Amino acid sequence: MPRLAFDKASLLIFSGDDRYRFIDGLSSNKIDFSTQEIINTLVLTTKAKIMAQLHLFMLNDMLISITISENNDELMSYLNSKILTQNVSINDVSKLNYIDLVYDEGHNFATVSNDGEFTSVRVSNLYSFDIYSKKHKRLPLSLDYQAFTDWRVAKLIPWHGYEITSKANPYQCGLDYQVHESKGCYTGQEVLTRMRSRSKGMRELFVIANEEVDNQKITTKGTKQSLAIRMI
Amino acid sequence: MDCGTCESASPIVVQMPEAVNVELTITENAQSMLEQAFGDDRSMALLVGVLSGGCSGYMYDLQIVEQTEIDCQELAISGFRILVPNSSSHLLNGIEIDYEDRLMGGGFKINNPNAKSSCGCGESFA
Repeated sequence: MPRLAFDKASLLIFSGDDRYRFIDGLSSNKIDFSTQEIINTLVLTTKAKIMAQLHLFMLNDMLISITISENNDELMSYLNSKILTQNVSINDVSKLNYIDLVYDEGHNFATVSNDGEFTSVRVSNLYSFDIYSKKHKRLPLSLDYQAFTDWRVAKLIPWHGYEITSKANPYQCGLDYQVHESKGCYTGQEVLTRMRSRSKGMRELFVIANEEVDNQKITTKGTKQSLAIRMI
Repeated sequence: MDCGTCESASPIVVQMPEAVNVELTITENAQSMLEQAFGDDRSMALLVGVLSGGCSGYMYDLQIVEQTEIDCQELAISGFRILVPNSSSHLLNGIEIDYEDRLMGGGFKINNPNAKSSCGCGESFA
């Protein structure tokens, strides 16, 4: 299974009695661990643009987020400004851990395995994040990013900095499944609900052969085929 | 995974906004409703707070309390005790608490000059 360094993610621990309600109010998916081990959710602006993607999981009563954001400082400032009187604190343990991206054709969907030192968080049926202490030697990494890109294009996976950017909303970059349709009252919800109910501005990700598409419309360039976004 | 439970963790320093001395008004309609809610017992207070969330990022939170552990400033307006958390004071200075008597969408409303936008139901603001 190919393993890539994924240093752009940060690892945050949310503590305090109000932590679930806090994240629930600020993100697009329902925060309910009674039915799932991992929750993929998005922190959005009031205009529903993507500020961060959170892969949330529980470990020994800790609520942990693998957090991917274009601007981490801005995100932290935003989250801090929303704490107010709530019993929430956030610890950043990114500097203590390696985060590797492991991709494959796995079969276990959304599970967390942990042996005390090594934590594997399978956020989808196709890839997972492995987290382990920097006290250990880093596991051998693949440096073949083009192979990852080609795999990602073939599997239609939107990625950070390519399709997932601060200029896109979830319905414009293939992250529809991270928006809970019946959940209300989270930041950005009004815009998304309006888009969905009026079927306006919705876009979809698609794979196209390189010779068949204008380069300007490509969001991820693969070796033979690429990803692009079109109006529905 | 190293969760840094002891000295190695790096807690994020929360920059608390500076507390401001809140001035707020309560409309006659809202006062009438508060009189009904409180009765003659003026030992209770109206806690006017803000929580994160809602379509626009912040949500109003009104509670009737006797006391609270939250660090608050206490105002006396028309005989009512009003508590405003210091951590939310910068968002609530200058607000008007109103009451709309309607079958649908009625209830206490906050008119907030600090709000850049608010959601359709009026419970949330940015």
